[in-house]
Amino acid sequence: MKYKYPINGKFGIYGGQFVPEVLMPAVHELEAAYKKVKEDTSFKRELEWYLAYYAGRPTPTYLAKNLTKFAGGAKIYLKREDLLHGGAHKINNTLGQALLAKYMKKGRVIAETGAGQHGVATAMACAALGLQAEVYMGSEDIKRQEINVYRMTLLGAKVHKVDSGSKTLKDAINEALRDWVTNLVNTHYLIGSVVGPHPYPMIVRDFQSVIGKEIKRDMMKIEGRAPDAIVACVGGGSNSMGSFYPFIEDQAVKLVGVEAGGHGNHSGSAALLRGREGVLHGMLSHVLEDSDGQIDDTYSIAAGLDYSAVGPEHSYLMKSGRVRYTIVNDSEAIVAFRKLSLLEGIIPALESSHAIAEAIRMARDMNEKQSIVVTLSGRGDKDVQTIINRGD
Amino acid sequence: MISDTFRGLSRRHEGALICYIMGGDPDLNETKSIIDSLVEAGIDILEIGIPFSEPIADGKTIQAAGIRAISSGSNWKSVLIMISEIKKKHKIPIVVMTYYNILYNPGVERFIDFAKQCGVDGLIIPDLPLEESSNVAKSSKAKSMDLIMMAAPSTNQARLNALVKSSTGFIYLVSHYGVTGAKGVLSNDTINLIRRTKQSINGVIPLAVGFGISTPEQVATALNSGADGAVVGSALIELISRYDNRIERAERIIEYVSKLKSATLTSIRP
Repeated sequence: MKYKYPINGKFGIYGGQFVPEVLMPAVHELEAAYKKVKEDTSFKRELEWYLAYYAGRPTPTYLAKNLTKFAGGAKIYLKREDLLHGGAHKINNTLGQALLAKYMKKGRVIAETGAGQHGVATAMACAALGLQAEVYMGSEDIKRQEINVYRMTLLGAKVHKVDSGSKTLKDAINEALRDWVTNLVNTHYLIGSVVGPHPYPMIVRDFQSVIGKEIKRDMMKIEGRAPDAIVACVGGGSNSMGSFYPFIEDQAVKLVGVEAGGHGNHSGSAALLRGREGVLHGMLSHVLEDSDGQIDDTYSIAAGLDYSAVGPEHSYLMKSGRVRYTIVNDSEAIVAFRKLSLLEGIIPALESSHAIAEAIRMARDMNEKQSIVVTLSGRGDKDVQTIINRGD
Repeated sequence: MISDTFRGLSRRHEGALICYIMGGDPDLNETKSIIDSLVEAGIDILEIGIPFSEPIADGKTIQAAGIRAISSGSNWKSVLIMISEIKKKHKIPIVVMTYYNILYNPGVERFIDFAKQCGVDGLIIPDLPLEESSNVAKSSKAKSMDLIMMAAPSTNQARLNALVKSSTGFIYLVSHYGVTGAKGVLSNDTINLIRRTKQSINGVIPLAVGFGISTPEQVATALNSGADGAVVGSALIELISRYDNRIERAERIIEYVSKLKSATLTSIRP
């Protein structure tokens, strides 16, 4: 089975370009520019150089022996995106898009950020490539993530406080879109996940699929075959999409996406499993909304998963049955966070901890000849304060 | 009905004054009384917003109005029911402005059926560009509901031609790069944009200009540059939000809107 989505900007019925007319020429221009650089050897060479020497690629695919022993089943490997510059997979995309902006001769880059990870990664890439970065961030998030705000400032980015709506990630995206509408002639909007109007879900997926390509290559080297399963967390869904994409056609590899369940019950940000089809931020995908179509505020202990919608390709992969999605709650994620820290000496991001919790569950029902790769999308230093504050 | 209105106005050498308010800001009863004042002041077309929590094309004023409307309990159904009551009282054409998720949630066909039953004449959906509009266009056409497409400063000739072909009622021209919200004067860029667009449209469909228009002078400039109508929204919503007292509010609305309407008369006189 050949997988060639998006077709005409859509993944089945999902995706599309639900943006104001004023932005249509801009998304068309972006798509054309992306197609061009995709075939451009000097672009590819430059991006590879930055990914290798600036970001620190390739990252190891590490056999977590102690965690494997603890789970008592399949071998658990960790794809160590936490070792990248900035401490998360975000830099794969920001370097790609910042370089694309440079090729498009757009000197100004705007971005949205929730917890601040994408904002920091954008600020880094822009500093490295000599672009001006401006980052929109909800005032609630600014309060919660003071250090990241200061990091962005140190890196030369300007942080705009967003006071509208729930004052979190979705509002930061709204405000970034409003900025783009106003300044699109000289500005590239650097979206941080596989969300937004086409071509963003495709571009971000492609830049992140370096994760899956390395998993494939490493597992061939180590195990002589592809892993039995890949597990990754899903907020907007960029690290999971990047991990899954090179394996979509290989039906033998189980792909598992883990959404955030928050406190349990019906809190959380599991747009795929608990949301409905809807249109937000330029795309048709799954959204968490009330019965009138107003978008819900969400909650997860992992700020990077705390988003009311999800990338449209995930909606498609769920509907087609190719990827299994599941939910992990805050408390289960915290147990996994502590386990990995103790057993392997690796403090994972709370986002990635959701995936680790699911991998432990899965490994138990598999045998020691089988293997699971978990994408460790980021390191957990940023979350230590959150854990201290909870006091459990 | 909308095209009849434009035809009638053109015969009388008038431009259309289109006023935008948010349905349910501060609540639906107040919206009804606000509409009475707008009609009394002589507006030609009424544009009513159904609030959406993520209004990406709107500036601060309309965002705030949307939040007030949502917290007053306003939703698509209650706004449409209110419109049906307005329609019993006033013969004014009514256009609903809302974001696509508000139609997608109940289902496009169901939304449009109900809107038609309530007497809505047209729809404006700012996050539904031409490429995504075929579903809505089909359902609208089946119910003889106008689907008003937006054009923008970034729209090239080819796109404009396509928009003119698919739009019904009128074309809504966004006056500048940006979101809704009152601005001081219409820039030369805007004036040129109106001229250019009017010329390209070549009389096939009326052209209304919105975003940033708040004064009688701007209305007159827009019409003198070739527009057939002007949309005033944020400035009106701002004014409405300043008065709690119905009587005082009605007086202020009538005073302000009458001046806007006068500008649509004088501006076309040779």
